[in-house]
Amino acid sequence: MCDALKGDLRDILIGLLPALVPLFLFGFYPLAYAAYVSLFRYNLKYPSLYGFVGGGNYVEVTQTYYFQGSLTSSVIFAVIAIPIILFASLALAMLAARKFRGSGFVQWLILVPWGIPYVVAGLDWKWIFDSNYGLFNAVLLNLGLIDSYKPWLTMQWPAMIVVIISFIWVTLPLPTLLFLAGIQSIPQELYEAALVDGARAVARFRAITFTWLKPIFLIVVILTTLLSIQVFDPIYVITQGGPADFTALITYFTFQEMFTFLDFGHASALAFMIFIVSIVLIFAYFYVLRLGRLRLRA
Amino acid sequence: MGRGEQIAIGVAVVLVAIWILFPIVWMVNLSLQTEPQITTVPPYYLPPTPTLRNYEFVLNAEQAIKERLKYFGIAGEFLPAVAAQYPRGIVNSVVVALTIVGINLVAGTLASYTFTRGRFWGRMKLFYASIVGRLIPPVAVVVPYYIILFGLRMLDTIPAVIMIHAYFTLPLTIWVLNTYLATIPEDIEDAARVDGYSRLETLRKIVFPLIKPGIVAIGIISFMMSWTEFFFAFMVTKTEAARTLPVIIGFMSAQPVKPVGIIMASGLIAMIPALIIIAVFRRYLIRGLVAGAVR
Repeated sequence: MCDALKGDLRDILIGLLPALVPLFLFGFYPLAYAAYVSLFRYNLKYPSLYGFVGGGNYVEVTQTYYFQGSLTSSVIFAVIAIPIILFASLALAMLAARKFRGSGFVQWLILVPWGIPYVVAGLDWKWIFDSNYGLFNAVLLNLGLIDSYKPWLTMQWPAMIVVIISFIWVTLPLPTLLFLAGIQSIPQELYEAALVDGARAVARFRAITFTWLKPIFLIVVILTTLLSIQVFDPIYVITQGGPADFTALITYFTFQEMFTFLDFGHASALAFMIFIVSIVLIFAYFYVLRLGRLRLRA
Repeated sequence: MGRGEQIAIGVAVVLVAIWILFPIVWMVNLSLQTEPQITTVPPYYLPPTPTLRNYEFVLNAEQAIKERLKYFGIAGEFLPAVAAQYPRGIVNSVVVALTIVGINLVAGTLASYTFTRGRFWGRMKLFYASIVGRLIPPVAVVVPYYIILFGLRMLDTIPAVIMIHAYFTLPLTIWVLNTYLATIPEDIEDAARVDGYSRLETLRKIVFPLIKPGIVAIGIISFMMSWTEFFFAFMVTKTEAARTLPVIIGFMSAQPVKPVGIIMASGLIAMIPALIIIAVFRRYLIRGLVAGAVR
């Protein structure tokens, strides 16, 4: 009995340690550190002010000049990007799941942007919308839609849209892949039965496709939300937060607090708030999609 | 399939192809032009004098500069010094991404299996914790990284990048494999256990072959995540010793004068592994996620 117990313990340790070491050393330990720092006045520009301030940093960051603006920008970004990615990836998956000549190629094509770094895609789209040499300006001018070249990336909404386009372009493949895998796992008999019962296309989609895909829907919503909350690379290479901080999402300002203003206390407080919001959002998804608790077993 | 449906699918496919291929085609176009050609108004829709010099420069900067000096006496337009790190960056990126695949296959499978089948105190808490790990905003942890890595004398090393990538790829791996393992009946394993196999032997000999498709899918997903990751690698590396491709490309774009042709060429080279992997493993990838998708 005792030996068996020891054997089990050994197996559990072998099973968990390789994964939990990086997870705790580079995930939770730094997070705990950030939570700790967020309670201190800790600004490298004013080291003499170092000291415990409790919730002071949290109160202060909500009163900074950028907080409301960047929060609004984050919400704008998420509210535009997340629904588009959800619907577009589902639509793409439904297209890719059809059997037609060349459907294999279409499946490959849809996945292509997946392996392209956000940085590369961002620079590509940035150059397409460049104010002096961009393709977009040239095409619009040729079509007579504009009189002269426009500096798109210095205008608030166009800049935001370019960032969102480049984000969506790279982000779409993974959700599409997940949906595609899900669609292909739906038993065809369900559709046949529905056809026999005379269900219309919309009813078939709702009763079968959507119901079956619900767990994947949850994964996709969570993944997409996380990526849009934590988005950084496209903003960094395309707009650097401009124009007038309109594309400086909350993560971008956290980055700036940390590396431009060197205020680790503020930055950690912001980052910890983002973490809490992420968790709340994900519990909300579980609740809304009525999937109950995240479970370990089928 | 009706005629109308066929046309609808055809139109949809063309639209999708334009959406995905057009930015890539434009990159190819720019990468084959010289800098003065790129900054012409209106832009050339096809390279007027196609040249591979951007690729040559990215792959072997020293040689390319020497040749230009020999022929023209000057190096020509602005050339970013960081591009000289590109070949080393390819090596770094490949090493990091492949190691990450290995770590996810071994550590991810082990952990996921232990969470799914093990019976021990704190199992659920640890499982949640390992998934919640992915929710931590990257900005929150980079400064602590600096302190930790400094203490371990691992700043600007490839193992540091690997450890960090392992941390942020493992949660998804554990989650996906967990849903996958849940579809496999436990009876077979019980039988193996009765026959005297230990847990780990059961995993290796019985379960592993059954979940192979899921493991292939996980390997590819983690490869892509690591291959395209920019922020962490950007923060913890300082020299070419550990910089990955996205970091080097990011640095090129931060130059006072943007070498657009060179950036596009390096971006295109950085896409190649992913294109090949997707082409080779597409079927496994979709099949591997199917069982995982069904609870």
